[in-house]
Amino acid sequence: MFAVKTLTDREYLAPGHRGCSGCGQAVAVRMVHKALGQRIVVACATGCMEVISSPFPQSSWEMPWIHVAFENAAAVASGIEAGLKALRHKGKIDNRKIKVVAMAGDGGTADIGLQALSGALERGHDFLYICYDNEAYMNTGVQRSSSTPYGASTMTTPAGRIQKGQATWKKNMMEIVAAHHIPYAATASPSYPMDLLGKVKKGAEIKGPAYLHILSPCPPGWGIEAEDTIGLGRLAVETGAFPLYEQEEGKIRLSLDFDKLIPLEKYLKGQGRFRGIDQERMDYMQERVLEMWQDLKRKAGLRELRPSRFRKEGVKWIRTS
Amino acid sequence: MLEIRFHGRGGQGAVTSAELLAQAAIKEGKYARAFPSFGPERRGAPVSAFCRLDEKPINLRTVIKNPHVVVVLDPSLYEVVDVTGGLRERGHLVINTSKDPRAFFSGNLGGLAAVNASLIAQEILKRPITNTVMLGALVRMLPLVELESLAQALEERFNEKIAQKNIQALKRSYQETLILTPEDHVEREGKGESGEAGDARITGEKDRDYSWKELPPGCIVEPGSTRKNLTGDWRSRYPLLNRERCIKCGLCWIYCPDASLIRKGDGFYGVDLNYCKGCGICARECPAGAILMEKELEG
Ligand SMILES: Cc1ncc(C[n+]2csc(CCOP(=O)(O)OP(=O)(O)O)c2C)c(N)n1
Ligand code: SF4
Ligand code: SF4
Ligand code: SF4
Ligand SMILES: [Mg+2]
Repeated sequence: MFAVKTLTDREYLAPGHRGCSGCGQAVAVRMVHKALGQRIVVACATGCMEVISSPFPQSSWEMPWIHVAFENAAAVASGIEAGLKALRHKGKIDNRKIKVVAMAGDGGTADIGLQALSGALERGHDFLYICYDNEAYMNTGVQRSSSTPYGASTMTTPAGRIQKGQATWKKNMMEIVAAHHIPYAATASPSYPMDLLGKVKKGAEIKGPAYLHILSPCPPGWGIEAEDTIGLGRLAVETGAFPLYEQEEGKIRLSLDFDKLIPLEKYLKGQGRFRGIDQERMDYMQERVLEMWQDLKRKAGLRELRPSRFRKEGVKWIRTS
Repeated sequence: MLEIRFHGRGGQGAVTSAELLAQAAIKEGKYARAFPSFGPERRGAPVSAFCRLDEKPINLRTVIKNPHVVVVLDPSLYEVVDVTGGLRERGHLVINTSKDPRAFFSGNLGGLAAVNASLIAQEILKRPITNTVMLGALVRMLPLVELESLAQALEERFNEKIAQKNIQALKRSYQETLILTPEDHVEREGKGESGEAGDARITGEKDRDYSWKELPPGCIVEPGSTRKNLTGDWRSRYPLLNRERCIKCGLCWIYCPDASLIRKGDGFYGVDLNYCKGCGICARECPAGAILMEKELEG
């Protein structure tokens, strides 16, 4: 499929954009568009990627790209797809494929854009929806979203003496999407470029709605150093906090399976937003992450893990078999 | 009433600058008001903040369009923002530069204060946060408040350790600031050293308001035109590639958020310093240890 050496040198997200130094979302967007190429139309919801790339009179984009409101990326993408169909019908454009893509942040997807997304998936438009999940409203200065992980401190869920950050568990967008029975959905991470590129390509080639959920580490929002974004993205996967998997025609397939998971603590400790989290909450999160990992493996039909056999080896690894 | 406008990039503390100055003035029994302009305050994006000082209460809460003083926290802003826009005749300008400040002097300035704030911030605070450093330069040129009042405001705002470092930076900048007055300027103009350099400052695209009549239909703008925005000057470190160690894997290239690694014909990679923001991802992710992040000396 993809290899670094055969990837195009073309940049569809031109440099000079105003993304923060070390922005994980910009890394992801750059990769995604290398896989998508130019025969696409993008509807981009308000959020970081829109603001950093299109300060009038400039644009970073090198393909048709439309800035839409915070809530309606999926609705606009639906309209474009229907519009292209009509133009083809009338013979105004030829039959070559033009993929319609919607992109939004976690706020634009899991919160305010959810009904537009649900509608578009349900109507079955032929489009690819990409959620760049940096786990909060970063564009407006780090407010919580329903995709913010438990325990993370944000402007609206500040860690204090009693309450330590976000009090609710991260919304599971993949399950919501699965409930629409669409042909393809997957999670991906810019820390695993080849896996991500493959999924983008698959999502774009499939006829009908496809959904990609990409975890995009954000230095100011997560309280991490710019150089650590890729490493942290990897830790998110290796701890089981953000498993990489695909849902295709009702089947779940883990893209990366581990027989050892790194303790969650290692992922949390590296981030300012989890500073001050206590042991009790840490244990709760660890337990829940393991539970979800097992659940996923069960659904993927992989050998089930026995919790009784989890074992701590020093502080580094938790054995899962 | 004296009106001061601060220009910075998100994360450099322009808003804090304005607030600290106001707090220091209030300590001295003056009246002050400070507030930011609202926009996406992304780390690195241009932001502005305002401060008004007076002997009597201030009721004005509007953005400052015609400041008496402009403080520019980041040298790269001249290219993207019309920092001196609306500056009053004989107004004062405070700049962060590592270059010869004469290049920044223009005829109608009342005074120019220049300091290499990026360097001082990097050396003392270990971060490119230039806000307190610039305040040192400001009060060196215009004694709006006592250095001591600023130090007090810092102590109240930050914890002991951070406050002390900032006070150190403030004092060092006070010492190292260069002041140019119109007299200096006239003298040198006679020798023909100024003029063209002075104009070179106001190049590039202006951050101005567009009327709806000027907007292109559908707002279709030139693809990839942010290339005009050289983000290289956000950088405080740059990657140094070692060809002897490089195994040409391309991981640095694929992980760069700013497309700043360029694939060469021979399979090696080079850094495009026009855009590299110095995040350090390439150095961190290189499996061969072929990239080192070096401190940027020139601001
Ligand atoms: C209806 C509406 N409400 C609020 C806003 C302000 N707003 C712009 S972007 C944003 C948050 C974006 O968060 P997310 O979708 O997660 O994207 P990110 O910036 O984190 O990439 C908000 C609240 C808006 N543009 N429109
Ligand atoms: S706030 Fe986060 S997501 Fe937004 S540009 Fe900065 S690093 Fe990227
Ligand atoms: S330091 Fe960051 S921006 Fe610069 S080349 Fe490396 S990855 Fe790209
Ligand atoms: S990551 Fe390192 S080894 Fe790989 S191409 Fe870049 S410099 Fe060379
Ligand atoms: Mg977000």
